[in-house]
Amino acid sequence: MASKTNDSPAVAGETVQRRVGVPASLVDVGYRVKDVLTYSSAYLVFIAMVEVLTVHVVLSLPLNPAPIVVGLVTFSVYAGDRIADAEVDAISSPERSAFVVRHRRLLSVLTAGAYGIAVAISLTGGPLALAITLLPGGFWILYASEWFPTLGTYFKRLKQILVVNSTIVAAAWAIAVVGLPLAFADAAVTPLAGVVFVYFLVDTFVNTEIPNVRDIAADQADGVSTIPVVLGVRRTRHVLYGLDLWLVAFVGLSLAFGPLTAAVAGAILVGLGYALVLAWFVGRSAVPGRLAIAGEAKHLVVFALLLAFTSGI
Amino acid sequence: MSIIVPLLFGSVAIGTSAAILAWRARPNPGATPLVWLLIGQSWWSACIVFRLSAETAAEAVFWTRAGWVGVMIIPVAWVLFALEYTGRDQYITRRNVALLSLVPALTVVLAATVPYHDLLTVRQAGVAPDGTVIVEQGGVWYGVSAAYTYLLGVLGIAPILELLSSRATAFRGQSAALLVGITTPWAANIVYNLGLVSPSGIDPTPIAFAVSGVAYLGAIDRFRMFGANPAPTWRAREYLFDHIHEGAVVVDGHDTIVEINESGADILGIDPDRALGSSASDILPNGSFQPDGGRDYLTVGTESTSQSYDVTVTELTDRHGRTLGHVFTLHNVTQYLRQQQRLKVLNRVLRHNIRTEANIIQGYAERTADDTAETIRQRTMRIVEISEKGRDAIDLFEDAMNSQYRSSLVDLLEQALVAPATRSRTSPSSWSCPRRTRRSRRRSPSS
Repeated sequence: MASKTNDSPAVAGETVQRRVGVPASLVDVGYRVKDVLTYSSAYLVFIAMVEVLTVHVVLSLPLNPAPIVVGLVTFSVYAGDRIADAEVDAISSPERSAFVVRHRRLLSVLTAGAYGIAVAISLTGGPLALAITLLPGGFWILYASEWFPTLGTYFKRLKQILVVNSTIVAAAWAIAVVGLPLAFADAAVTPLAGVVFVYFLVDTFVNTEIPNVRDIAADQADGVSTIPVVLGVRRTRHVLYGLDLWLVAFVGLSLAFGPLTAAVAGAILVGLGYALVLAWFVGRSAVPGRLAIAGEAKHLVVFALLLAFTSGI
Repeated sequence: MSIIVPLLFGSVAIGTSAAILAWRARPNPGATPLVWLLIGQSWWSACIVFRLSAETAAEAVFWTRAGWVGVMIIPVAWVLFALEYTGRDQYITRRNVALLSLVPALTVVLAATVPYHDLLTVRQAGVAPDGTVIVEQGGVWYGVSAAYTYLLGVLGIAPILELLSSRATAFRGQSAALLVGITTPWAANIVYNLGLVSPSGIDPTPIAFAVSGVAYLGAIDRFRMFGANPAPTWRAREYLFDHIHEGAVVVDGHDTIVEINESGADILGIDPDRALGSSASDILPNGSFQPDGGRDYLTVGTESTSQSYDVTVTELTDRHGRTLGHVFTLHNVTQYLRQQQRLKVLNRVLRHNIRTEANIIQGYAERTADDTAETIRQRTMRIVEISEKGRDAIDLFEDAMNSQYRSSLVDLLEQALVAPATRSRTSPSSWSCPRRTRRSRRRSPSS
């Protein structure tokens, strides 16, 4: 849920060659849909909802409106962020920036409406659900807003501070993904919930840093200190290896001494193996945008495995 | 109850959405106060939802008390919005905001400390048939806060009302939407406080905020509230009046100075703060500031640095033509007067020299005895006569400037069109003149 993608849309000629036998108009519509999903961050909505459903399965919670609320908030925050950063993104993501500028008004109303509906739905979960729903929006204001610098030169945008920027993003989403299902279910925070929270926190941090490799030039121009900007691509890869391996150890320990079941641990460990392979491609892939999407798609793998393991398939 | 809850959810959804749109519209005038207003109303609605879903009386009372934060944010944010949006942001100082927030802050403190006093009471008043806890509010301070809220509501509406008569369609639409947005919940609140609705004790005001939210969204999106903003209009008028090169003094019908710009104060050498509200007869130089026009140029300063001003009087009238006051504008004519003086001197010297030379020529001519002498004498007299035409030109110029009684264009047209037609007994061409709303009279200089 921290992805930025910017692969160039396929040109018509390539499309025809690759999709022999498929009507060109259908292929065109397909690519338009793909553009809308990627440039507006709509695909992240689906992945975010899957993450919340993963929490439901792992914590054995009854289904509640949390996936819908998180999906709406994800769309609102990410599409809203792309509206705010449209000018800056013109350097690193010209196609996405052009898409956002072209549909700015519609996206603006949709994102505001999505958050409004999310907040209204969260009222059914009580005050805690409301507070957690407001958290990503509040963190986004802290993360990206120019409000802090107006308070004095001592402050600067949290988005520009090394590690703090990615940690804020990761914390906001980890709290929302794990906390909201619990709040809606009025369930207690158990050690298992703590383990799941740590997993999502570190994993989201990793997924936030992957697209930062592609955005080095834009981030430098914007004065944003990310790990790739400060440490370089090779050492960033090592940091990502380190974080993924730390998670592997953490999941192993949680399985051995904590509340994690073998099915859950197995699904997560497969997902972390997938993440380690992706980390190897960081800085080496010719299509970094797809690498970021692949990082997010890991949650689909974990969820599918979790369903398979827990249902005994 | 079954209808109220969905409406409350709608109120929160719309209010939050509008707040986000307003937040993105910063730093446009009015955006930030509108965000606070919408946060206040959304919080109030959310607290009512929590109160209705409360399982215990204590919980219901707690959320009713918590709702006071939203209740008291709204009127302050509304006034600040109205001032900023209409360009009167010079009144939004920290001191004024603190003063405006005094009663709301006290109210929130009293709501938080309800168990320790009776100024503001919030207590359970029973249980509705559907199991909802009915909460009753009252106390002396409840009336004070309600009155204060209504007062700020009216104060905020006043500048917005002005926009209803704007020539710009967008501003009229914006102001109409804003008025619907603010009057709907206040009307609902008044009806509630009069005990006309809601036997279950639920204040319908936040529900009316759903209507407000739609109105605000309409103002933002349909009427481009933050795309076409009237804020500069007010400031532009002020700026023009304050920074116009010519001095300007506005005197009302009771001879009181009601406005004076920086140039006017500088020219007259008076302190604007002291002049405003004072009698014009006491402050302004006698004789030069008469509504019916004076006789002299206004001269200020010492002999060497004196400056002369032509004082123009413009009558201000209301739509019925009744005099409201006068605007005196001071136009610096020092340079003009000096050049006029130099021209007179030059003219006099020129005529004198010509006359002298003519006399010399005549003297020489008289030494001759033939008819040529007479011809020379006549020609030199002719030259002297021509030189006198220069004085006539200056006199003509001065007469034009000094003319106290100017001809009315209407009268001239009547003379030119109607009178000849009457004489020739033909129908005059139809014509009309615009209604005169302001009259300007230029005073007559004596020099």
